[in-house]
Amino acid sequence: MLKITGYHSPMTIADAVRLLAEEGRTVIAGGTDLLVNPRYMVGVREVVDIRKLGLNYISQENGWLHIGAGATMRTVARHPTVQALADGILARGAAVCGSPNIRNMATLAGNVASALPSADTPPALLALDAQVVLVGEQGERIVPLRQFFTGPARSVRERELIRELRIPLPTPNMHGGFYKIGRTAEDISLVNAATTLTVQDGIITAAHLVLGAVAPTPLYLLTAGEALTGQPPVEETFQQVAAIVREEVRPISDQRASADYRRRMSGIAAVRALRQAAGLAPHGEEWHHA
Amino acid sequence: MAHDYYEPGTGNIADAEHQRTRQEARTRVVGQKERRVDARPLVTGAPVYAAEFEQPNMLHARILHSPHAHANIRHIDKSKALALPGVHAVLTHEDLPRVAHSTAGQPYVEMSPYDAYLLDSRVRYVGDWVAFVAAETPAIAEEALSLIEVDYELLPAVFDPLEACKDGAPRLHEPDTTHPNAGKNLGSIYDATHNIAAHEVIRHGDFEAAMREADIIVEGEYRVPYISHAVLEPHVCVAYLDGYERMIVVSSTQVPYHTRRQLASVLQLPISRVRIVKPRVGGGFGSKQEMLLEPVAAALALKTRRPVRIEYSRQEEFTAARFRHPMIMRMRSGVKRDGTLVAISMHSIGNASAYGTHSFTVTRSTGHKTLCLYRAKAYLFQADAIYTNLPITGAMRGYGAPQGFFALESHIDEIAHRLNMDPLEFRRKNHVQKGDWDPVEGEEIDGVWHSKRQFRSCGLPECLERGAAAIGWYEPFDRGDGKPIRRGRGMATAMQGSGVASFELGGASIKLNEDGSFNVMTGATDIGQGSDTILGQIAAEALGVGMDKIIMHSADTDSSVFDYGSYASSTTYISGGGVKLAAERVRQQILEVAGDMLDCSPEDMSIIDGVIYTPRGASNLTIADIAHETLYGRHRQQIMAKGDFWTDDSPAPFFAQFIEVEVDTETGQVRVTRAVNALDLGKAINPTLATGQVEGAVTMALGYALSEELKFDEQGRVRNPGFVDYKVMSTLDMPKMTTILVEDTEYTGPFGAKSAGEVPTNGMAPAVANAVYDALGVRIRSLPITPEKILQALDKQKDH
Amino acid sequence: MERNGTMPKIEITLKVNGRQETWRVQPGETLLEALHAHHYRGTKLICGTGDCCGCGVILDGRSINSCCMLAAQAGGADLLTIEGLAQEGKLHPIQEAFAEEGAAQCGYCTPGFIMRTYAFLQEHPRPTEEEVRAALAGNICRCTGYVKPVAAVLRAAENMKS
Repeated sequence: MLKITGYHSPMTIADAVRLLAEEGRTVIAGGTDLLVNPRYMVGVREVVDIRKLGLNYISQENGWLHIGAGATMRTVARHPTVQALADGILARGAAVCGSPNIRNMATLAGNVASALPSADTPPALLALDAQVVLVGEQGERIVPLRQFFTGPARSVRERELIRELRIPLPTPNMHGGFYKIGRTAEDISLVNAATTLTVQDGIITAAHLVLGAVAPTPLYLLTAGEALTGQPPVEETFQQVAAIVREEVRPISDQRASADYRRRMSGIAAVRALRQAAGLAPHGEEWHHA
Repeated sequence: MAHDYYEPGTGNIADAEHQRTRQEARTRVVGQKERRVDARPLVTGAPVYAAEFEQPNMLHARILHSPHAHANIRHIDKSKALALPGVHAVLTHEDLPRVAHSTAGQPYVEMSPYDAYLLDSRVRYVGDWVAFVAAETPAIAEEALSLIEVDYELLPAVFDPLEACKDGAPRLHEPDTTHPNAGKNLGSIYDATHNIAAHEVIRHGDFEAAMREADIIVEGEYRVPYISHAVLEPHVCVAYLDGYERMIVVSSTQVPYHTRRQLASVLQLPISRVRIVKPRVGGGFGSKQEMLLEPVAAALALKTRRPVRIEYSRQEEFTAARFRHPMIMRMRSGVKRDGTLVAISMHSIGNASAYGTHSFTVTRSTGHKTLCLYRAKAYLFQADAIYTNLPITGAMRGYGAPQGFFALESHIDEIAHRLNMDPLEFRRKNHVQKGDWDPVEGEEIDGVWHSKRQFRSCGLPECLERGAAAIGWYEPFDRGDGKPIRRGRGMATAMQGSGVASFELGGASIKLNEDGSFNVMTGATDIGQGSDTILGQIAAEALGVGMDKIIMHSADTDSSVFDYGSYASSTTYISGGGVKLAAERVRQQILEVAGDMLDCSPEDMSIIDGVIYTPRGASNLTIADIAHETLYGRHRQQIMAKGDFWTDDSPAPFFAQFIEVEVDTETGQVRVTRAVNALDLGKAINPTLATGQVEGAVTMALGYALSEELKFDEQGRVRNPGFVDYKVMSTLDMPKMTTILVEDTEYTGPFGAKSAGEVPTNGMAPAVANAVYDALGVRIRSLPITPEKILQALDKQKDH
Repeated sequence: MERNGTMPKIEITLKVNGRQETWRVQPGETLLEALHAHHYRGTKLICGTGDCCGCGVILDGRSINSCCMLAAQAGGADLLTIEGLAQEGKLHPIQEAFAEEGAAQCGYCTPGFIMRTYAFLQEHPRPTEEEVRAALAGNICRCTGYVKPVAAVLRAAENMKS
């Protein structure tokens, strides 16, 4: 039994925004983080359910992929467009998030809103250069995901709801990779890595590399991207980047792993994701089981 | 080995009984894959557990736990909590009698110190009990906890047993003077000043002389962690006073009778006023071989005179229930160059935690239950259990043997490699054989070893033979040399007992109903392992009926025969032995009536599928006819009998674990890809249930090997009190598994059976360590075998 | 109706095992707590944090954890629980398969496994063993080692074909 005194289920975004304007209220969608993690309920008296706002869409428009805040991990993982996007790194991240029962409730936007450093999907979203569409009393604003996270369970989101996530549709020569390391087959990430590489004539022309669970927020590694650009997508390049990754991550020791192990694994996960993007290692297709 | 021996089996095993078992090789119900008698309620979600038991006007209880590892309670103010609307009672140590006791579900006199109080003015670990609340709802009770004001005087705490036994370490307990064995080192605190809960030395033979004969001496220290039973149904019970002022406790327990005795003592009630009812239990694994919440609910029910329900939360299960003892085990053994083991020694240092329940017996079992697997000239075993300010360690499946076998079977592997011998061949050369006497369970008097048991059955050679064939032990395989993913194979062997020798009593009463069905009322507790089904099959076989005629009832201290409960792998062998006797007596009563009716001698008659047979063949009488005759006819009587069983014996089941692993040398991750489990259980009363026991135990042991560990911060707080960070195995972690049942008939057991439930917990952890060594050439001597430990070991290997 | 000491605040209607019901629930009540309060006790509380799938039910055709969803969120839903599988006392083929294979030992995880299986077999009527393992990856069992539950799902698929 949660200590809350009110439940609201608005039918329009305008109503939802109005409800959220009041102190002590928070958004609930799938509820799989909110209801089990007390940190999200501090100071919360009432919840505003956004599942009846018609936001469970995934659509394509003007070169953008739009994923509504109601889209569940299962929907995202199984969507053909998401699976085709940079070799399906986002679909794969969604497909390894929690258990099947969790993926039937949890939403992609919720995974972003929870802002946990170990989350499974933000690395892929960051590597895909996603944006967050926030709606509040002041209206709508679009925040690049790279500016969204500010700390563990903290983000720039004020008394707002995430309406959707938007991803620019990539060129066909962009490829991706995703690698997750856990303690058992079904686990929270100890370290995860997502990457996208655009390769032309044997040279990387654009690169994004993101590491999860190794810093207070999902970590977008600008320097790694720069180091990759202009290089051939080969093992030697990736090993050099791994050294940069190990240098840049800021892991902590906790009950899951030591900082040293996380640092070492950040290099391994990065290389394994990069190998996939370069076609040197097979991609997983975890979405089959989502 | 030439020895004089005590004659074992001074219980009720008679030679005639052995002979009869031999003749009953052909069975109709025993040995069949009968469906569980409780399958239907379990698959339909019927409300059959204690958690679902409700009473009108029921209150809900919660416990205030200590936030400190060691503190005196200077003052408790409960007035604000009592003032909260909906709160009916708040109990503190000031409200309850201070009765020293043990919560260990063991027979009287418990081999555990009397160092616990229901509530005390001192708390000894983070999670210790401070106060109990009963309220209209769980939420109100929870809120009331936050209103209890406690003034603590903090005391220095100690968490490492090696520190805790030093002079000047914080002391946890006063000498335990109320224990009936106080001063005799048989369960009471051994040395309170040095926090030594228990100490024991066992010698057999002249150890140092034997070591002088050895060509090679091998030593090693092994460590195993705190782990949780992670039982899915938490501890839960409902207590209420019935109209006759008797205290009824419906509880999820493995030990109804021990709990009845202990609860009566703690609350100062006569035993006659206490009744413990065990409905279906959602798993135990030893965590419920304890009195835990029963006196809490009962004390609150006495105070409020309302029914009181209490259920532990998952977090409480991971912080304030019971855990497997962590151990430090030091091995030192001598071996000849030809591969003959001459001497084995082990020193086990167990973390007895804040209270010593099961600490003596578990710590001694690390050696008692393990070293006897090998022949040697001399054995030396020392056990020390040391108090620390950590959550309470108790009984858990295997009871010290999983700890001990991790050390012993890793050590044996190291010895074999030192000799350049195949580890399997080394074991074949040195393991005990059928007919051997136990070299560790016994005592040396005037230089002569008096053993307590003989291994009358031993299917270990067949387990090794078939297990090795199934895994392809002698066949080459792709080891992944030069690649990041490397492969290796490992094995381990193990044994256990069937009940605790001389410390068991179990059985049933059986009553004939007018339709030819039977009520089998047993005190043995089905906790998921399927004992109701197994005991039902034993009864059905002995009676000559099908399972459709058996109605199982377990357990209720008002109506079940006395039984020590389900632990120590005792149920099939001990309670099953009692059930078989009861059934044979009932069968005899039936045949006496039938003989009178058919003018035939009962000795010449038999019962097959409910039909009475004479030497001329099937008669026209069925058991139902006899029932009618006895209940309404001329032979009027209730056909009914009881049977119970105890013995000084404890036949050993044997187990061989073979596995194949993959190790990612870059991440350090270990994956067990194949597992072959070969178990000698004497006789599989029900092969489906038996293989289920093996598969589950092996999986639990896989978690022990790879991922399970309770972690603490510097203040002694559990850092991973939930399934998010206490990682148990899932379907995706499971190897391809093959289970082989070997049946080397145990003539003292019902239909040739000995135990099955614990022994398969003992092999996986050492097998993983041994397979990792085979794959990488590095030896991991502490559990769990985490990726970090693998990488550290590989780094060290590279440096050399 | 007075329950749990305070007046329930939200009225929801939903279908439970094919029957329309009206519940009055509190805002902070989880779906699992509401099920228990309405005497559907077959769905078990095991971890309460969404980490074991022991409280699994079928909500609008999808298997979900009832411990991490608010009861209020189930308004208008079509809910199937373990109590709704057997028809007039006749076990559902999945229940038959779990009973026959010995897939339930202590049985506490069994309702969660069966409900997850129900949803899974709707989508994958002829699964491979690997697919079954992936489908049950979040369901924790401490007794069986998963061997017999996996076998039971495969047997259930076989039984439901005919």
